Amino acid sequence: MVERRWFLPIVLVIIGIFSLGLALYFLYSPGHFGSLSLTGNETTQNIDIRLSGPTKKIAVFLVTGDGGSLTTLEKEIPSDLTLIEQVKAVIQNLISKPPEGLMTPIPDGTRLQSLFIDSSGNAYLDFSREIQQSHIGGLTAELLTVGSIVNTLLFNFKEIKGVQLLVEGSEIETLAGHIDCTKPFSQMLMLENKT
Amino acid sequence: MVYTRLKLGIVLILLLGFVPSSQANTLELVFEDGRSRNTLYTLSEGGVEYIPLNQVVQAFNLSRNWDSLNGMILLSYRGRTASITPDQPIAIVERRSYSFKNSPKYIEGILMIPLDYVINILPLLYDKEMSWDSSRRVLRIGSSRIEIASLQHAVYTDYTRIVIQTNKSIAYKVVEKLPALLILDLPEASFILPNNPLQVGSNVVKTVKVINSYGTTQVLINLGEQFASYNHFALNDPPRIVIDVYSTPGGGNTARKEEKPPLVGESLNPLDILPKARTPTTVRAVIIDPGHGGRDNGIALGPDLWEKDITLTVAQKLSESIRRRLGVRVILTRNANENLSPVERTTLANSTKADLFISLHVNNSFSPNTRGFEVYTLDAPGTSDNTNPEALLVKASALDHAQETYLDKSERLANYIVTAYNEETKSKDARSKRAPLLVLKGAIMPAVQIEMGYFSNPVDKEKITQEDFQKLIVKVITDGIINFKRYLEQVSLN
Repeated sequence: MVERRWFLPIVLVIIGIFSLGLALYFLYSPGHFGSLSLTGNETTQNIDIRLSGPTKKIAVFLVTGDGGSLTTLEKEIPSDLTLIEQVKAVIQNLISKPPEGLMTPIPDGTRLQSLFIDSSGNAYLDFSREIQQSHIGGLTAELLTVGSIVNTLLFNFKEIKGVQLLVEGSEIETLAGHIDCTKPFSQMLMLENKT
Repeated sequence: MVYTRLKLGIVLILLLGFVPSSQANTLELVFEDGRSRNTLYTLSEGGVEYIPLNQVVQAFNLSRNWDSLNGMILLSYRGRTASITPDQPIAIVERRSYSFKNSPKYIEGILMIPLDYVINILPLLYDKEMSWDSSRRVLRIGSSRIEIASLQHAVYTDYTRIVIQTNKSIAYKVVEKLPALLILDLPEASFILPNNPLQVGSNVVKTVKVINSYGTTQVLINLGEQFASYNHFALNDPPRIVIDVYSTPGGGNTARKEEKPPLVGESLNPLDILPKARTPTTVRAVIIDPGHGGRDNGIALGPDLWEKDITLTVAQKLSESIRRRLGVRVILTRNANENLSPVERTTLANSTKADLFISLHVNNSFSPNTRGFEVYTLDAPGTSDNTNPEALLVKASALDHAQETYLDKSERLANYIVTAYNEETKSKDARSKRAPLLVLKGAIMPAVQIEMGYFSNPVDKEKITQEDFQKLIVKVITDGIINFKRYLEQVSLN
């Protein structure tokens, strides 16, 4: 019986350590980025985009009323943010509800989970799975979604030379079965007809 | 085949009757190359599982001889032999002796081979990889063993490139014995190379030699006096390992020098990543790609109706129309509800050596106002020129630039189809466009993606499922291909 008294606390301590380990793992484990070798910064915190101090103007690319092309909408973000924070703020603006007559091509519930910029100026944006799972599908819709993100970043930040979309930490071939997302986009995606 | 299996089954049942405490079982033999399966009947006795020798010989396509001098049976496969000696757990394969756990033995006059002989000794004889899954009782016979197909080199002003082409992608390791030698350690591979050792004689590489060494294969690169640095990477299609040896330090990180023609050596492709371009002079074969499929449903068009279903229906009708009106070969990337990635579709198109690639889809947008029939060709804004050259080399695949050679012809094909649609409908509803489409990027032939109409537009939505509209689409695409074929033939005559 004396031995049993020792046994219970030891088991409880082991369970406690194990649970703490699990909790720490799930709280702090980073996303899986495959073979990408990344340098730069990461942030998972939301940026406070309330405009109390100095601001700078940016343009976000949104879908026009006819649903066939992108147009820019001017917005303001705080200017005293780091580059990573500014990008985060711009994406938050892109995802938020647009004014009447314009549409955001980013599916509801999509979150920017993390963001990296490597030494070559390629920005890797890791979105939550909603960007893929809740997408309405179709080539034009996919082009508008990818184009709005890529164009918004390339247009506003000269430091960003390329934009690659990731979903839940992994590289993707396409967002909805059509557009090549295997490499960073280094030019804005234009949607006007060629003929 | 059925008769043989029945016969073997009956023999085993009889054996079971005679041998007390024995148990019959089966195992599956799966040949992954030819996608064929074979069932082997086994018999367990004293905890050891045996297979009749006859079955093993037949299943693995071996030949059998009796060596009366040594009292053993010799199994042969493509000039290699392995021995079986009853009651001895020893086999001689290519003059080397190997031991295994249980001895072959006669049971009721039939020579039975223990399972561990099949799993451990036969792979030494056979030229295919084998893997045994004991839980599922499946013995998989994989693709051919690794083979070094060629050894090439090219000498440039400030570096020398060595290309080792293999029959499949392999893992490798570089061992430095600087400043004299670089060794590439590969898994054991077979090679018959007429130019081995390869005399390079540049200022950075003297010779390259491939040798077998204790169960591994090594490529020995003898370095020249001006060796300063090196870089290596693996590429696919065909699988190969590339080693660049530089006379400048940090050579691997300098700009894309590969675009200059080599000074000495075999002619290597610029960048060594482009597949061979073909110039179509007519249309002999068309590959049609019904968009989406399998778990990728595409757009939900209605209750239990998906984009993947419509694209397959139209593809089948188009296939029949092209065959009937042009008399050419037509291949579908999928003929059922099958999941294929965009890259798999392109690879399939390239491997069939088709002259045209047509991918069929239904479009969608965020507003009901956009409508129409659209034919897309590749736009490639995504090929990032700013990317670090080293990363670009590693990430680039042979398919990345393949379509660029065919863009003019792809656009011409798109225009023929658009014109045919507008003429047929007396409208301007059809237009050609460009987009960075993954399925077109790697196609080594004129290639277009057709968006038949917008599901988000009520008029288009209604039409897409109608048979008359599908007939119209099939007609105008076929008309477009006929005009394109005429154009190709005229150009080739001039």
